[in-house]
Amino acid sequence: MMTRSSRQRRAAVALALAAGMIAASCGGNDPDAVATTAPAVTTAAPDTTAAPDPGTDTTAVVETTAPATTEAPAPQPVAGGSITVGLIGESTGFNPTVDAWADSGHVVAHAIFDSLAAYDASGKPVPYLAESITPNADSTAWTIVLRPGITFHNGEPLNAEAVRANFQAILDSAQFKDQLALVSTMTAVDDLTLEVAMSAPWGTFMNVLTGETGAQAGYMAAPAMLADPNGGRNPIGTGPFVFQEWVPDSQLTVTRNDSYWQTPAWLDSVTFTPIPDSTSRKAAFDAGDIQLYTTGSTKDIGEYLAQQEAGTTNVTLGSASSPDMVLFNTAVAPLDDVRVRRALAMAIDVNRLYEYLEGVGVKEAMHGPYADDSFWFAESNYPDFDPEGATALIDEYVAEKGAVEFEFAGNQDPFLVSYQELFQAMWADIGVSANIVSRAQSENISAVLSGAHQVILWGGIGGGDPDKDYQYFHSGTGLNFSGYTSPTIDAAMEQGRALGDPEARKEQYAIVQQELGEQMPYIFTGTNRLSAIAAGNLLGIDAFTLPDGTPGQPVTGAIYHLKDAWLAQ
Amino acid sequence: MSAAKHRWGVAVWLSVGWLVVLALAAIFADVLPLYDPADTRAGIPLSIPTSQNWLGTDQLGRDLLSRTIYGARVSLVVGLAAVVLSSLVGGTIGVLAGYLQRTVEAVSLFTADVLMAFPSFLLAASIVAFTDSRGLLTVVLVIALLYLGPTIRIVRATTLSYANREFVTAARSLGATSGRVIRREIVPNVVPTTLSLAIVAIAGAIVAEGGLAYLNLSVAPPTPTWGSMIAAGKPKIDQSLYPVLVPGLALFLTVLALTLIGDAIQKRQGRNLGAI
Amino acid sequence: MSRRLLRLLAVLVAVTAASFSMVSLLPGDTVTAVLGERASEEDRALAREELHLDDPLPLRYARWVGGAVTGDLGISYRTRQPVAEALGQRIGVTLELVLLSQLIALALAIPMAVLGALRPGSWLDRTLSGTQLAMLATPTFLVAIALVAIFAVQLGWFATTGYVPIGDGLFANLKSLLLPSLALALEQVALYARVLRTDLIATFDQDFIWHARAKGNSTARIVLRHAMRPSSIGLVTLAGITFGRMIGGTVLVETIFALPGLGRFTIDAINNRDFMALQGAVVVMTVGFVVLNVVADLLHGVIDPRIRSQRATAR
Repeated sequence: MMTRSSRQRRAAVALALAAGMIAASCGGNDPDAVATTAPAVTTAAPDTTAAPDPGTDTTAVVETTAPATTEAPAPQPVAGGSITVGLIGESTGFNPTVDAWADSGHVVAHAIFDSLAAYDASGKPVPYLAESITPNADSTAWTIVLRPGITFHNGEPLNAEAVRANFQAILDSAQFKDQLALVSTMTAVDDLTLEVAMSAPWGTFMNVLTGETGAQAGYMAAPAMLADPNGGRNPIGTGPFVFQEWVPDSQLTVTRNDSYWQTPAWLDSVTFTPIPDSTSRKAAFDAGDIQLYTTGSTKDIGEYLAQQEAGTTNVTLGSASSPDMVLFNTAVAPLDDVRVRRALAMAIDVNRLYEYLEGVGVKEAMHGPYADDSFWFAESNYPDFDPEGATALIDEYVAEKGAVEFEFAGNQDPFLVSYQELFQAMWADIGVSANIVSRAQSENISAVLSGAHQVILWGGIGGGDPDKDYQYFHSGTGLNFSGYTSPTIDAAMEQGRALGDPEARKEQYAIVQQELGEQMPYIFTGTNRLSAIAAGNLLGIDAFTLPDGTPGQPVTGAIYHLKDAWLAQ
Repeated sequence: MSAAKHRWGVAVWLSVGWLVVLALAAIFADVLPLYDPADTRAGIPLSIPTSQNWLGTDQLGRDLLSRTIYGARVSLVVGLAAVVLSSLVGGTIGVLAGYLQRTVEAVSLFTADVLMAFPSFLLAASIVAFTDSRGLLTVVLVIALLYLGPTIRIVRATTLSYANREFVTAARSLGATSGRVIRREIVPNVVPTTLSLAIVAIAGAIVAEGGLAYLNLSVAPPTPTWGSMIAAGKPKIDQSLYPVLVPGLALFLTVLALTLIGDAIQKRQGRNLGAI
Repeated sequence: MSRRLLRLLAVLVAVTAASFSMVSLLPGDTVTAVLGERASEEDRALAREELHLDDPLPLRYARWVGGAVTGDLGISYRTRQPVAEALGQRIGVTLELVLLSQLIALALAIPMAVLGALRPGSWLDRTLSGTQLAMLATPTFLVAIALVAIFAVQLGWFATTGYVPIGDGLFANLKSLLLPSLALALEQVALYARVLRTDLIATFDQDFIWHARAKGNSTARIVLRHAMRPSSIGLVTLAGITFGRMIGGTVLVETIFALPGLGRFTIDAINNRDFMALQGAVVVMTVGFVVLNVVADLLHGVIDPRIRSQRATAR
């Protein structure tokens, strides 16, 4: 996935609302969402070198400069030193079975917890904390075998019972239970072996054990912590760092776990500090107050890529994460009419959105839930920008059923309110009136979960592996926020989950994309990619070594690992 | 001192001039040759002042001059309406408290204390947020609520200072009813005395609306308000100052004008009061 | 005095009762706020029981007060952190911010007032008065944004957000609070300077000052030794009241500078319908207001800062 995204020529828009709304889809209310004043937009530095084609040009920049720290004759890591990491937002707590995390929360979680599985360099999930995770022939039962001798930071052993307790906590959680929807029974075969029986074939089970967004079931927390109502404020995992102290909205400190089950981390300690404002985050980095942060700003990434050649910064490009999108409630008028939904999509000039989101750079439009250069992408009837066509569709609808007017919800971040105003203006051009409703994030989530929404800025759907979208596209999960369901999509999503072969799965997901492109329950406005910016002497952010010594995927979305990070003397 | 008086005179006239121009522009905004404040194609986004966009454009390419003038509508209406409302309600309570005294006074002073002990800005923010209504009326009501406590206290104190004056006791001893005394003797004296405070309160109400709008707790977009324009311009302040500067300056000048006028009236009354 | 104290206590009860019932009556279901929209009916019933939501309002209020007096302000619905603990983590930031801003305000206001009062009506006095009016007219949030624009964006001198605890070094701590406290101070500078100037002018007119002057004391000595103390009662009182008021008035500045203080905590609580947290914050602010009112009362009976200052100018 990394290699693919490094090749990804152009940009991505990352309305960080999307990141926040991922939490949304889980019914949580993550402050990252509120905290996103960030014009979080990414491209790979269109103006760092002068070549005729901005696309290939930036590829060159990315490929020559980004992996510099790994491909140069690798300096030997040394232990010692402390860093401060600037986060986009604060989390409600650090209990993986209770708190829905946006990217910022996952970055902290990766330091304290390990996940049962992790992505390898090709983006395939492989066992990580677990020794092996194997399905039976039809993927209706999975066997998780743990490594002997691993203990949590409080001394409790990591055994089959501990894994069962973590899964049970997820299953007991109203907001997270869908992550393990197909799990029917769990049996501890012996101290280190847990057998998980499924109610239906589940070929992609390992995906939800990776501890990424929407896959928090993978993180293993100490049973004592799960039992403690205050556990989320005193997290205990098996991870490379041990939790020390947390003062919400101020800082969270972790120190190295010297009895780590892998090579211990290099850094002595890490302090995480939330800085919601993107301008301030950059200023804090430039001033040396923080040594690592995430940004989506094309301008800033370009600047740092230029500095990277001088050795003062290290830029690690993230992989594409879930796209920016608009969600329709297809159950209410006028959005129950496909002509209206289609017209609303055709009215959007994504370039104007990108211009607002950043002001420079070429961004990448989408034609469905998966980026055009994604493995999963399939052609569909997804419309292009066509205001005349849109006006015609709306006129037709108005003649039949009357004026098109609806509520367009977003949160209270002024940056996003302006962004919504841009949609509002483009929709006004085709004769539609959208009334902007700015609500607290948690209220928006309630509205969507109870079907009280009409049109809303949303995120978390699409991008990545399509199986992740099962819960949103399938009719039977309670999370199909658009209200658009069909037997065809249900069957294809079920097949995609049950099958193992990627090509065969891809065929199923092509069916889904074609129907979505026809019915338009969502508008996907752009791909989304963030980058990690590290100080010149902070190395190894672009590394993530798996237990067998092979490289894993260091950055998923904007979530990176600090296990292999170290400070050059 | 006459030189100083003359100086303030100029400042006060300039202040009145600014407010009149602003009010006229706000009232006649629809017929003035302005861009539609919601038109995102008025200019290129974040443009500096040009011959098309005299004060530049905002982050979406909307004309800042037009938006600032339309924004004045919200600011002036909220400022005026909130203070008029709190003056009517709080003034009535205050006059009754000061004149009737005893239980009425105790109850209204206690109410004022409670209202003032509340963290007022947060009270306003919670009401707007919880009721989820972003109409002009809600904003006017919550800001009026902020000024209710102080108004009750001030009006009551002023009333008290007149209630025992000779002309009031004389009227009373001549058999005038309470209502008549309040109407004829108290109110005509209390109103001018508290006028300067009301003018300063308008400035405060405009600032409060700006603060609420900055937190996106005022009138819903696309209706421009100065506070929301400032809030929306801030994320791109490193690219252009104008989206923050223009509404910020309008807010500053308006508040300054009201403060200067209030200050001048107060100085004049200070002398008059001394003369009584 | 004790009557006044009793009265303030009554105010405290009324404010908490009002906010308790307001929060309970306003739209937004508490159980949904706690459990999320998708909780099962059993879970909901359990939570209602656990939170005593079906009890009559007065009983719930009484129970809450019972907890509050023992320092238990309940559990935040959103983070499940005890509200008292959360407030404890934040009150320090806000207090430090307010204290620092008051120090800055006094440091600027006193010289301004003295310079103006020495020669009332002089060009210097008029310039200073004009400056003060301008300061009074600049909304605090505008000052805050201007400071961000100048010192962070243009000059790059400060990383303008985030709070550095004192534990990480006093200098870094003060640096992180300098701009926000400056933003908060500006309006106070004007208020304080106006009050002190008027009181000083009145004091300068009194016999004992003429006496000291006749004895050939220097101006500096007269101001510092003789005039300052009798003139500062109004200022001290005003500062006391302002301090109490500002505990709840730092919301915008804390939001703009991303400081983990009480104001930002409260606005987060409001935005997330975190009723318990909001209730706790309201109590802390009200107690702060009441306590400082008592303190101010001990010094001098004063009403509203603005009125006080306006009276001063009106003299």
